[in-house]
Amino acid sequence: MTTEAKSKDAAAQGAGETKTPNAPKIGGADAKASAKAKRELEIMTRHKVKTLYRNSKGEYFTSENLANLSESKKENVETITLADATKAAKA
Amino acid sequence: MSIRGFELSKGTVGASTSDLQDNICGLLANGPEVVASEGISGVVNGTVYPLTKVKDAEALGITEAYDTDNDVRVYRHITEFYRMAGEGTKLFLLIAPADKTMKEAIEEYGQALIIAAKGIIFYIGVAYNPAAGYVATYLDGIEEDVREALAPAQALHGWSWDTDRPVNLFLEGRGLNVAGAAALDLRNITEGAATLNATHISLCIGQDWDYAEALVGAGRTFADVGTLLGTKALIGVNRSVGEVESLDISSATKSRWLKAGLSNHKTTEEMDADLADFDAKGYIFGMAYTGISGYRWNGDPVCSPIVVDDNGYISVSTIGQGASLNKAARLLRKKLLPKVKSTVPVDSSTGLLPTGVVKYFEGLGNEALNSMVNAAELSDGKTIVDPSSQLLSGDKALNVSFEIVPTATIEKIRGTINLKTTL
Repeated sequence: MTTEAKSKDAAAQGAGETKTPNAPKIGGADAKASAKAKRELEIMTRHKVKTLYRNSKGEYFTSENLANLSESKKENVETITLADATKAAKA
Repeated sequence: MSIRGFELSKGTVGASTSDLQDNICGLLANGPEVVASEGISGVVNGTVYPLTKVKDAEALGITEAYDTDNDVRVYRHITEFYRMAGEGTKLFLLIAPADKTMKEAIEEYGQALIIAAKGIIFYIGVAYNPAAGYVATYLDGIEEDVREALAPAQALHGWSWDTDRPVNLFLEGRGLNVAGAAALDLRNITEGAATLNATHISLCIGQDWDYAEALVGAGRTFADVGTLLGTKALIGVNRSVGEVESLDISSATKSRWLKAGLSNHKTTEEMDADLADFDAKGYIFGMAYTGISGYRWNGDPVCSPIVVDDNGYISVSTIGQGASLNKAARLLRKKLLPKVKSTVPVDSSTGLLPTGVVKYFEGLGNEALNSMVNAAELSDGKTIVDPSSQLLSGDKALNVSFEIVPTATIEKIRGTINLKTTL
């Protein structure tokens, strides 16, 4: 859940208003993120790695070098650690 | 009296000294079952069906319509296999349930395929047909469903070796999704801290682009593993599927492979700048050579490093080397197995084998290896029996080592050319 989404949700609840039709989508995004993290955990387990690298197209790599080579900018590569994925999967 | 003057008779050839057929293949794919009906015997998932021609598959209900209706490529691989290998070649077909991944198909049905064929399969092609609505996850530039199958495939080879029916496996490297520079180096795959030496596994990423273009969705990113399997079945164990002179994989008459592509569904022309990387990293694909028509496989690499140790031992780094090793192992076993539990005399002064018996067993091993040398499948081979083998006590094992020198392959010809005033 983004910070902006969190604040909108809190404001709506604090004012005693009913939730907007968009509210369930926020929960859906969390579930989606959790599912993604679970998938990442599975990949790490299957391939016996503790770190995964994801490029801007959502493709995973077990090697940072290959991930960097798949991008024009290294900054586009996201590093996912086993601890991060475990935490996100439980969220 | 003879009006012929010179009489010449044709010599007779006795029965083959070896009934070892070294081009028998298996095809493991996932797909739906076929219900038996009039003229169709049907297909049950997990059952092994021996084929010798395309019509055998059609009799089962594996037809072009089966592929089209189910959005799979089973008939495609079978027709490609027979286009290259020729009808009469044995192909054992096993269709795993449609929802099985490539890894699951290998782990759950690979052994069954080899066992049902009584261990005579030399090469197995593994094809993967994703379910409808499939959304691929990419890992190291290929679909994760393919990437995760590499280690189990090598494990299946390991099992086949340990149970005396060694095979090579060719995987459908569908869904390539990366440029050559960022592609996984199949010659140096790591699984955790270890290197995956997949000495008998090859990844095919080549496709007949025109055929794929007529498909939709995930079908477009398939790879023609049946073509590779058929090419290997056509040639001797040691020969490279990439032979330029004799192994054109295109067919104008059958409109097959008239435009080569990779499993990202881009033509090799579009991917021209990346082909050298894919080649160096051990991928197999169809390619064109300037100055010669048609398409050839780029080579016969396996997913394993090329190693030469201090003792001159070399690792298996090509399909040809691995298959030669497999065949030699099968022949040696066949030659020496009958001698297990046989009675041999020992030298009464040492308790060890007399020299004559040592030489006898070395001769048996050499006979097996020489049959491959004579067939130009090996450069040389040698059997060494350990004369200090203890046969009166302990595990009573006759210790034997075999050293074989494979044939070589000219990967390229390097030359220089200059203009001169005179020669």
